[in-house]
Amino acid sequence: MNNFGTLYHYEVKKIISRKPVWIMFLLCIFVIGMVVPGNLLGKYYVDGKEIDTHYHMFQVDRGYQEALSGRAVDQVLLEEVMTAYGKIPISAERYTLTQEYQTYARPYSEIFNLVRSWAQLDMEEAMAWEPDEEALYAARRETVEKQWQTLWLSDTEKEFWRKKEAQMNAPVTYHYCDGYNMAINGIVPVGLLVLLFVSVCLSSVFTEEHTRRTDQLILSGAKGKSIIYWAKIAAGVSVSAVCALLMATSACGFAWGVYGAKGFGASLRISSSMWSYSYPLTVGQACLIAYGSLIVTAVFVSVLVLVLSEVLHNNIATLAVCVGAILAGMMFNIPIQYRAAAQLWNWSPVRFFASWNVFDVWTLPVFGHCFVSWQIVPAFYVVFGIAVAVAGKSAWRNYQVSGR
Amino acid sequence: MKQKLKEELLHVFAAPDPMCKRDFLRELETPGMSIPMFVFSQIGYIRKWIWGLSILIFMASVVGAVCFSGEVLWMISAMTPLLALTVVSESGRSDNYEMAELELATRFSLRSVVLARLGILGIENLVILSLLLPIGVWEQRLGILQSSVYILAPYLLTTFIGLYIVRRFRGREAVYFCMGITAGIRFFALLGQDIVPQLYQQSRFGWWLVSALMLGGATATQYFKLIGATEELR
Amino acid sequence: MVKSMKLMIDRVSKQYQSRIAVDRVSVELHKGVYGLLGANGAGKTTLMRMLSGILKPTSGMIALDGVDVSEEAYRAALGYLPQDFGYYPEFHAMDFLLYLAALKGIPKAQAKRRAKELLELVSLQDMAHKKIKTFSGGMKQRLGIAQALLNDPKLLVLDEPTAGLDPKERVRFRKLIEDLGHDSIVLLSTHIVSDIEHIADEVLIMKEGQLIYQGKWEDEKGDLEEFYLKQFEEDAHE
Repeated sequence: MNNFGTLYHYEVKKIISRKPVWIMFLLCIFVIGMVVPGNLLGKYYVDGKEIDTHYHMFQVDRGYQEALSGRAVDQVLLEEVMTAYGKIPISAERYTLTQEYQTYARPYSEIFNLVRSWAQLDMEEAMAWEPDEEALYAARRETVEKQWQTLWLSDTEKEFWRKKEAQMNAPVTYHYCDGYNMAINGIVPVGLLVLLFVSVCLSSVFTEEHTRRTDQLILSGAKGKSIIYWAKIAAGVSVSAVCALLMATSACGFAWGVYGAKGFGASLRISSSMWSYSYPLTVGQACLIAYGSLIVTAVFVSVLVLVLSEVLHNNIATLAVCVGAILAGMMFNIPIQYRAAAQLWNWSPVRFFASWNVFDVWTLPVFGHCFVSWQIVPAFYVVFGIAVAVAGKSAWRNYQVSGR
Repeated sequence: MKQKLKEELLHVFAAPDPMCKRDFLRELETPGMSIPMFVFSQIGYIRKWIWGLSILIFMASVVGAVCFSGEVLWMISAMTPLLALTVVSESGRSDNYEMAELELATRFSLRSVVLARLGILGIENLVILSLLLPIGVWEQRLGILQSSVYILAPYLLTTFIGLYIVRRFRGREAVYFCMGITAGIRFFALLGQDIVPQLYQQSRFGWWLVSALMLGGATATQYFKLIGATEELR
Repeated sequence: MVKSMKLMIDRVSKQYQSRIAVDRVSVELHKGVYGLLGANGAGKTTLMRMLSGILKPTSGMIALDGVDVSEEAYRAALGYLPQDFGYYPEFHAMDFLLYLAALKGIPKAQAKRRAKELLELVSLQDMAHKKIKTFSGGMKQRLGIAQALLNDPKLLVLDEPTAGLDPKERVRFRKLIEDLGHDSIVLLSTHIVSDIEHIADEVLIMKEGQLIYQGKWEDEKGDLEEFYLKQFEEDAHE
């Protein structure tokens, strides 16, 4: 009988019975709670004069956006938008402070910003733009094609994305979906906290046995070189998956609690940060994919941390390597001219959890089919994770108890 | 010839066996170690990597000032928690390596050892921070006071939390978790102004100043509590 | 027909760079109690670790009834008490035994029964649900002895098992080992010569990694401790 269940139970108990693990987890939740709605703190100043609070501004804008929800971004709406913006005096230095903006244009600001992004217009050009539904959608396609060019996409990839673009219907319907946008935008600090939590809590799962001198008892047991290794890996992976899920749920919960959970079915094209992503997804689906990818990344990182700790036999060195890798991921970019290297770097677990990497347009063409990053990278992580775990077993199995 | 004569003389006139040697030696006043000598001797027992890390932090800040001059304040702010970590790791060293019981039973007991080492590192950190401040202020539109607070706050927060953890959860695990907390504070110091820019508004500086002062007080409290905890074996 | 047990240690050596910790030790052990004596640094703990499968010999072979030390079946028949072992402070005594029982491949129900029995045997039944961090040194040692007996081992390797035990506990322990020696191979190392005198059927003396004496010790041969010290005095005179 291999007693895997019993050993797994005790390994999980060993991890979660450590008070610092709980303290770290609660701290992470606290920081997530501060960071996700962080944009709403404080006041808005112009020339040192307090104009409004960010929260009140958000409430007003939310009201306007919810009023626009359900409307198609079509010729009728575009004409309304440009008529409203046309009322702003041309001579106004800061147009947002004018009465005309606040009364007529502000309710349409989301659509106006969408037009500016899609057509890549500066303020002056946007103010002078003639509303044309077809031209707007054509401009978006053109902008997107230009981006593909600068990102060194191959012809196969461009063809793939064009097919995806064709699947998206026009005109797109606007929905208020700030809850999902904020959840996705907040994924970078959440991801960093998840990786930090995994690194801190799991790098002593194996090393603890050596520092506590329980390795002699374990390794001399019948299952001490085989089953216990997998029990530890399973325990580490489950704890990190559950904690990543809880942190992801908290982040989304905080975002939806503050910004609302409306707009799950809104097209990604109306998102302020991901409007150029050509895969036919909704904002809600993108949010689930982003956080799902984060959880898979956390699981993969947990395997790396566990195996590294056993190879190095030192939890402090393991933590130092992990923190160094996370910092490197934050600070260094590889220029896109070196596409393969940049793609590999962006798909590494210290960078992948950022939404712009989960939803980047670089694909992996395999036998003529292009796999997008959120499809292929988690699959790679699962396969590599298993490979690393299998390779790491020999480090545990062959550990020699000596020098004491 | 002379050597041979010496040897012969030694052989013929052998000195008698000493009597009451130990009593006689105990009567002599032997110079003890003064407190400044003791403190100075502790410098050699502070681990080399701590000095190395401090130098590395300083050099990294200089390089940062040259290469990323716009971001150097935040880079320094993210590196000062590492300086704090050196203090925290030294404070828990006796417990980590189970030397506390031996060190408590000596003339310059554990309390003196900890005081001396933390004092030395405190002075060293003060020197490093003083050198880092002009680098952090250079090419920043923020004033000296504001820059100092943004540099000191993560340092004080790390020291406060670290000393609390080391005192409360003893052993290697405590220092290890301090590393985790330090990493978290470093991430926030580096990314904070991008993630939560409202916290760095001019209007919020008062809160920063008050927080820094409170953290300073809390850190001092933790120091005293830590010193108090070294008076007996836990 | 009772199958005889045999632990074969054949020219086992362990070398660390320039130092030979165990030097070509060969011995065959059968059922009974074997006392392993030696000065500090003689190689006793290294030999015991190799017998427990947690240290690989540089050369040589170790097999229990034909099963090599590297195989799981060997460790399934092994009970090992290290000289200096740790524990999980948040575990209760029962948790600790159940965890180790799982590691030894004992089914859960059987493990619970066995753990209860052994806690009674080592007089820790009242401490079953107390955290190990509250135990004294002697209690931890008794818990260590209990875990070594969980799987009713054919081979019991005990490194300084009586360290930390008071005299009364040591007497109880000797009785226990004597009983175990009837059905298992018990190898115990200790600095307390009287422990070996009373219970060991055979004495093994190690010196500088080599086995310098192996044999039964009877009263007619005189005081074991004197004999043991004499082995090292001969060195001083050389």
